[in-house]
Amino acid sequence: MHVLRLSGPGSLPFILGHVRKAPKKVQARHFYYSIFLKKVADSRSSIDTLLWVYFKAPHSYTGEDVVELHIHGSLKIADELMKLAIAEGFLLAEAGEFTKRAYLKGKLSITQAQAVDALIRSNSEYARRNALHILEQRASLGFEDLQEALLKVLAQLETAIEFPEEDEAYLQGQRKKIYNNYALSLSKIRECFESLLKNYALGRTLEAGLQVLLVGPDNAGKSTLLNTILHEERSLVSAESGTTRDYICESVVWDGLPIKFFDTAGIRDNSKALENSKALENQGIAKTFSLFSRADSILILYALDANLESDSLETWLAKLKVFLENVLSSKPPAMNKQAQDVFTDLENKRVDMAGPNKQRLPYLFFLNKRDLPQKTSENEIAKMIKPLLLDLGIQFSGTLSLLQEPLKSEALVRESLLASLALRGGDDDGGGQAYDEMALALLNERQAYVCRKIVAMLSEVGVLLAEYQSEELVVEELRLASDFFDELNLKTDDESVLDALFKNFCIGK
Amino acid sequence: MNSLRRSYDVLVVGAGHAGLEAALAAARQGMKTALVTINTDNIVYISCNPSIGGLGKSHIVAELHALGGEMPRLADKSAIQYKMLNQSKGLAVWSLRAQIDKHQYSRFAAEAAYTEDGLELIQDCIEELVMKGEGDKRHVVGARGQRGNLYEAKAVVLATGTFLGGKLYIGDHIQKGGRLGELSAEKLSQSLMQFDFKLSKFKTGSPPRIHKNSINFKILESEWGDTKRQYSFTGDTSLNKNPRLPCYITHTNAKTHAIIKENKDSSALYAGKMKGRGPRYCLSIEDKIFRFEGRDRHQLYLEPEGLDTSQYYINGLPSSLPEDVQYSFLRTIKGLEHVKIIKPAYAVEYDYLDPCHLRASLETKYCQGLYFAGQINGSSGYEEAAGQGFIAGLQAALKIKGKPEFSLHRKESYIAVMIDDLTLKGIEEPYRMFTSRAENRLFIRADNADRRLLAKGYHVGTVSCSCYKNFLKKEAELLRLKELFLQTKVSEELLTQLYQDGGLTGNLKEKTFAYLFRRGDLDFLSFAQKTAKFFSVDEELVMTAAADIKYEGYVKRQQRRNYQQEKMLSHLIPEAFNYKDISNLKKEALEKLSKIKPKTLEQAARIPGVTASDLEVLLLNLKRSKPAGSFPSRATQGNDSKIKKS
Repeated sequence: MHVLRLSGPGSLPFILGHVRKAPKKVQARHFYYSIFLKKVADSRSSIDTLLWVYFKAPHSYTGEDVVELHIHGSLKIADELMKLAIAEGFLLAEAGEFTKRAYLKGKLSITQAQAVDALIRSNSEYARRNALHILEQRASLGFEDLQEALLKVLAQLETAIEFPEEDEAYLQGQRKKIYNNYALSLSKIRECFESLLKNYALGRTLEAGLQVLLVGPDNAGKSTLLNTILHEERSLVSAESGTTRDYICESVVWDGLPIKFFDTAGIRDNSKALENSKALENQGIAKTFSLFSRADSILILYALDANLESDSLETWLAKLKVFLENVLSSKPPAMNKQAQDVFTDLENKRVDMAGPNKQRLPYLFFLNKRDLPQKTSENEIAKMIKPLLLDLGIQFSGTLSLLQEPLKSEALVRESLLASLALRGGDDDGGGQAYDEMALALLNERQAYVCRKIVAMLSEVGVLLAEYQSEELVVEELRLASDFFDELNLKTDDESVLDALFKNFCIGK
Repeated sequence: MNSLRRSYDVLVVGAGHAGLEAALAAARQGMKTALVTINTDNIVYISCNPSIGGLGKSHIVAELHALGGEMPRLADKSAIQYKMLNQSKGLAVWSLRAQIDKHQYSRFAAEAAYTEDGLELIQDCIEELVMKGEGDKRHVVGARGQRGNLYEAKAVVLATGTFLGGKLYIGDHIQKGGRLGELSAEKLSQSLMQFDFKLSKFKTGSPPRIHKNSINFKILESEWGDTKRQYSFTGDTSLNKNPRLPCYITHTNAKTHAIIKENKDSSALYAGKMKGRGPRYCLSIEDKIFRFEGRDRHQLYLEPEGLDTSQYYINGLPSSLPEDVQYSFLRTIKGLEHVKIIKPAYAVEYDYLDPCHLRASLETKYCQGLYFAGQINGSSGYEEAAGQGFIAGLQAALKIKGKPEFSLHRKESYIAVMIDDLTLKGIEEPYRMFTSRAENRLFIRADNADRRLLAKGYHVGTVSCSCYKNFLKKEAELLRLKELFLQTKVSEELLTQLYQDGGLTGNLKEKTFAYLFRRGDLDFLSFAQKTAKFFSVDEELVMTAAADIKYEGYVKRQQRRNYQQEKMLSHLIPEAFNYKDISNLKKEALEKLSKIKPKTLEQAARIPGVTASDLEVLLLNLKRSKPAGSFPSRATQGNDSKIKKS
């Protein structure tokens, strides 16, 4: 089925002029079943039977008279109808035209128009839900409150300037104290923005999908794990060490959340890592390291040695420790200058994208019990390695048995991973602020940019206050920050913003 | 009617601060000018506070000086004390206030008016405007006085102050008048209304004047102000031989507040007798006490009104309470235990017109040649009035001479900020100048008014050639000093010599003067003074150079922003643009835009009630109404309908 949508005062006359037995009085939001006719010379030929519905201005999407034609799913019929409409003076809608009209008629705010855009483009459940929040006008970020707090400081400073005789005596000797109070109020505002940005960074990650890096020594079962998750033989599994030279990336959707798994060439034990570092010019491995800086989560898989004897347990643990430390350092011990640059560059880009508050990465550790006999029980081993992991800040997530119990293993990985991500939202610097969908909802890229600007400006004000620079200078900087607030509230005096916005739309919306 | 008929180029109604500047500015442009006032013995009579300047206001005075206005000269001649306010802050917000001898001020003003070639003074009360033509063709041809005289003029400047429909309130006593003891102009309001001008009422208050001998000065703190200050840039102090007089500081207290609270119902302001709105910043004592319940005292200044008068003005105490109540609360105040009131505090209510009917030249949009200046535009304050008067008089003269309008932009002048605010934003309360009204505050300072405006004044002929040459010399010296400060490093030895007081921390070795001037913890004034002495250069020039250096980065940033904004908002709005065609404008915005008819989007942006989204819609529709542009022109042709397939 195709739907044709007509908007404008000519819409109703068009449909009435083309259906057999047109109703005398059309009821809005009411479906009519009609036969659509086309005039050929003096006779009329029917084109299609269709359902149509009329939305009376202003109670339509665009705020104008709108008629929707639900026709049979033939491109030929659609073409025919469109040609007819165009012949009668209709124009083809441009990208974003309908939303633009809705905006011009006051049906949508700019924020909502942006949300429509986001909704159309949303490719994950998270993104969809966020866009919907705005459309339904459920979300508010409280920018107004923050602006009010900022204006209060601004007003106090201006009062000190404009009424010196009221305040001079009071200010004498107390200026430093007052300045410190200003600094405190403003840093609170700044913190709010920083946590907003943090939420935003996380939200964007959720929207774009999470990146999970699979790390483990050769033959730990990384590829098997990936295959299990994907339920297919994608990665080449072999008993030979170093099968996965570069990396393989696969996506799944868990709980509406796109997750990308990167199976890497891995970090081997210390001696091999050193070798790797020598061979760092090899781009494949350099890429592996770059993944560390991009990953949202790092999943470490380590195999329980089949021939593990109690006397060699210590050796095993020592090896594990070296391996984990190597992973944690996330770059080889002796990285050459060039590689270092590549790494820092990637790191910076990542930080830039995510905002300044990208915190340390969560490491999950899984022990893979291979399908081979062993003497020491897995519980014993888990008991032994837990303190070691705890020391390194790595979470012990459980033991997998990928070959024997693939479904159970997959479920464990999935739950641990999702739980750890939720934990991340819970904030690791003690702020206790959970990831807030609402916060993400209103923040688009432009607003995030403005927020970063405001953070930067408030920091600058902080410097001026710390230097006890005179009031009018502090105000100058604060005024600028206040102007940026207006932009947050989408006070755009820049038409290019609008043009850019509406151009983003797919045709017709 | 057997009456007098006289003919002029420019007729100025009212001889207050606005009227005098307007008349002088017009006469100095070679106009045959008449200045008509109710009482020619009270030319620029100081109605309220005996001081000129203060925050924001001093910036206007400095600009008038740069443009060749009279106010700064009068203030300097009659000053009995100068005080620089805000010296603990940056130079941009320093504001000079001159206490003046009010009789001298009025005398010097009269002298300026009487000795100006081409300017005639006439004692009369203008009652009626005479206009010809209709609609866009309507123009003023003169005005008629109380005795039936017809004063023909090509331009009329109305500068009526509080006299237009003026009414005075003291407790339940109400009398007509523009000032205690003087008449008001009653019929002119009706004449304006007949021509469809809409009048509203504002109110303001004046505090009590008390007798010097009834004040116990011994127990009060005195304030002598600063030495070596004046409005004139030339440094010539020979015009003023007055001794310096102090002001005294005292405070209200709990007893004062209790008496006022008890009697609030007898206050004209509180009993609801006055219709007009008053300013929020110049509150009557009644207002202060009720609005700031938490404050246990309010500061008052006792200011001498002159050398040869025993009257003292109590700054901070406007009131409209009955005289007996005034007596009892005044006597609770320290130093005023035995006070004798000469003139009671009173409130005045007067007519003004919403200034949105004015162009930037202060000419009304509804009648050619009719100009408005001062309180009739809803402003308050001597300085604000003088600034407008100067512009109105000058613009009237330029128009008559067929010369282009004198243009000032708000980014370069406080006077322009004021006129821009008044004519585009309209007002809710009497408008007074504040430095915070100027976006470019760090650049448009009192100390550089000459740099901003003197050349403009010279080119329009309000500033003399010698004055201009002096300015150019000073400008060269300023550049030299700036370079010197940027290059010269302060040796440690020199630093101790220049800056013994300490205060600065950190490593100051090998730092330039510029660096030190930028420091927030520097005692700017004292360092500038010592620096001036060290290089034996002018102290004020050192400060200007230092401020330029200190603010440079901010000023440049602001200029960049101005430029970007101008580019963005430079869209012209056709005069015939019909706002009613735009369906998505908010009602308030629609009304204001239709009324004010801004010329550009930039002006529209400054109209309160016009929100950002209104602007967006306006911009889109402006683009749309163009024959070509990013908005397809076909959208306006025929069937404005769209088709879509999904």
